[in-house]
Amino acid sequence: MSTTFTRHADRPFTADPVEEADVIIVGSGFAGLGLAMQLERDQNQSYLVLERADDVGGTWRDNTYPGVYCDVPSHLYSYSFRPNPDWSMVRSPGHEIYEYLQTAAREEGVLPQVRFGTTVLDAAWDEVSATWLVTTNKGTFRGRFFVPAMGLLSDSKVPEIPGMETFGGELFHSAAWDHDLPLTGKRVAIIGTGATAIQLVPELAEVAAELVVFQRSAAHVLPRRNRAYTPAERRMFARVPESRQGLRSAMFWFTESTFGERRRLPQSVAQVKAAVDSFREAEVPDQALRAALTPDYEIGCKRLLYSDDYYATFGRDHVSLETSALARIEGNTVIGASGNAYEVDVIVMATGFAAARPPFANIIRGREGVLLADHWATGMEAYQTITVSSFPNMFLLSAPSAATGHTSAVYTIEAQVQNVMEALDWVRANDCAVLEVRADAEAEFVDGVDRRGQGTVWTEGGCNSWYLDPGSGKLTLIWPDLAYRFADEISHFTPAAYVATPHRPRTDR
Amino acid sequence: METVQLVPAGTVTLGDLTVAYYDSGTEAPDTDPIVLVHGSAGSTAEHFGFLFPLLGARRRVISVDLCVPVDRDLSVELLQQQVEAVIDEVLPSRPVTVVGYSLGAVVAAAVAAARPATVRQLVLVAGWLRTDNEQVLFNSVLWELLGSRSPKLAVHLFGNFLSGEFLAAQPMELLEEMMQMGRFDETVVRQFELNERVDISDRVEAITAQTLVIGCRHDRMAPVRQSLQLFGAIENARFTEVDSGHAIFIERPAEALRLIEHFTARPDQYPAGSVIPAHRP
Repeated sequence: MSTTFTRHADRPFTADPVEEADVIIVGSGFAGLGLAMQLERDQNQSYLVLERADDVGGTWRDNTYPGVYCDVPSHLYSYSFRPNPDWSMVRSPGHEIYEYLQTAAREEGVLPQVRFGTTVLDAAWDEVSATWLVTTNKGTFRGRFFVPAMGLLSDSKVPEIPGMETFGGELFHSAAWDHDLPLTGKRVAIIGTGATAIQLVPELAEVAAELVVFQRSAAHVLPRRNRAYTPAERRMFARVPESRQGLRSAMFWFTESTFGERRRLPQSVAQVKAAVDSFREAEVPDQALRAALTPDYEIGCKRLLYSDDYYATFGRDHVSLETSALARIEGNTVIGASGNAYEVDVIVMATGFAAARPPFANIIRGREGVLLADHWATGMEAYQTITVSSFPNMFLLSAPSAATGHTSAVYTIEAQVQNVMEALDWVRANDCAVLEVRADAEAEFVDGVDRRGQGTVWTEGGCNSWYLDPGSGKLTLIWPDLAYRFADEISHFTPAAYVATPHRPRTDR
Repeated sequence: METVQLVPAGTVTLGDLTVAYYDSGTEAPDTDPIVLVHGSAGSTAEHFGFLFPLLGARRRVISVDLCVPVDRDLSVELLQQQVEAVIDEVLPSRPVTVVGYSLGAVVAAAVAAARPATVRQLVLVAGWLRTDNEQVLFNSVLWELLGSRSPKLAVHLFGNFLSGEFLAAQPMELLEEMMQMGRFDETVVRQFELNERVDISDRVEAITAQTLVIGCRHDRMAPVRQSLQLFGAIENARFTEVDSGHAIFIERPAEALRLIEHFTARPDQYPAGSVIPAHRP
């Protein structure tokens, strides 16, 4: 444990903490673990990771549905400081990414600092002690710094469907898969055609007696072209680290070039449009079906999806496409807004996550008890995607403007982690107690992000995506620029944007 | 708004030649405008379709579409005059940064050598100093395939334009599609003829501009040793290598953008003589 905390030890607490640390991280996915590992390597601060589940791994622990894999190539979708020569495929299945995170957490020595089964109920800034009090089902934790790293793909979004309670079969969200439930021979409805559904649909079609896919809006699809790495390649990656790094760089710069589509550069758009259109034409010979599977918005407005067998699945006799939203449920009958009705035994909700309005904002309170959700009334925002005024000593990871629609989230997470490490170093070097971003710096940064979001496919592409705040319609989830510019602009802590209060006991209370 | 359209903004007349140029129009405080010069068999649209709008969204960028007459031999000087004419017309008496690619890098270096007061910064992407045997041999096959109207002309061009790494990683259908796109008209012939007799070794040492030389590791058209020679010849130069073939604007357009953006924002970040390490994502 570090010595910095003991300076506070003689002060009165507003609660009786079960444990305390310099840094309290919530969540043990790529973001939370990424910071924990750097803190562990650094050994300058004590830290704890609070995790509501019984293992690390974040969204890759939770999402175990059949066919789950990551559409970002694995040599890129992994920590730069923990390369893995043994990825089985160019785009690896979800369980392999989960295992990668488990191994990383174990080998980096962070597991002793993770408190499993610990659900955060409330987190509040305490002015008197200048610490965060984090109330959980296991008691209260106290930390000088608080890092919400729950991510945006952690809380399932299940729509309220009239008549849901009358359903006699099994109904569950794709992130809560029940592997004991046999689907063989069942009649299954899947709700949604996003990144999860496109992976699930071919798998469900293999086992279900009947499958109906409820599609509100069609997806743009490119061939996935996945393949296994040969043992020879994997040994080459192990023996020649430069070969692995070279591949990772090639993957990174390729994905960066696809930003041209998001920025709506005519040549980039023409290229990807030709690829998407010709793939659909080749895969869906039936004209009416092809029309139904043709999106009415621009490519990239919603996540561009990759699959080799999604389209072909609709050619199978026992698979139906329902091109309307699920409107109501009556017993075992699911009924679309079109009026079409289907008898089913199982409903799979591939309806995504509460991403743009994350539930954690409802349990975090800053100065004067202000709720993060209220501060974010018109949408998530943060200075450098990390800090929020009125929420001192708090660093968000993987929340507003930190996702990219075109490349690896791990890359942006690492830039954020570097910023937080620099901030913690700066605080220690300058012996300060409270670090708070200036409201004007936050506003200016957010304006800058808004400005560059204009003219992108996310705001102009004619769709309503989960990247947009459902209240204000603002693009709050996506970093609307090249990822290397994220690294350029986010990786470094900028003291000038902050008000830092020296480390001395307060006398005004 | 950060959207810049890819349409020519105007033309400059030079004798009987008309030179079109693009202009992002976006002025940024305290930055010199950038002038882009494309390479052989290219144009702004073909080589800078990614670079021009993304770079131009943040600052003034002019891109010259070189005019290649077919009724006379082409020379570096003729192309150099075109770039200078655009600079004089569009950006009179302003210091500029010139970015040239391939034959455009040769031209950019010639402009910088001739106009040291105008060209304060210079980026040479996959350029060369003096044509050597490898390039001559490449062209000899090219002329043979062209003369015999061989369908393998495109294979020879694209197969050498792109790196082996890039070729190996693409589906063959995509490569075949790319080869369909090539055009090889009389203007291209003139440029490849010029490629065969380039020699700017008498001039480059006069360059005083802060210079970034970008070499492409797997380049078979302007091999990286040529970029290293430019690095050696230009006093105020730094060097970096990109893991691509000559077709850097197909293989690594975003990496090229980053290098140009970083160098022009902070040309002093690396002192003259530095070898700049690659970004390791």
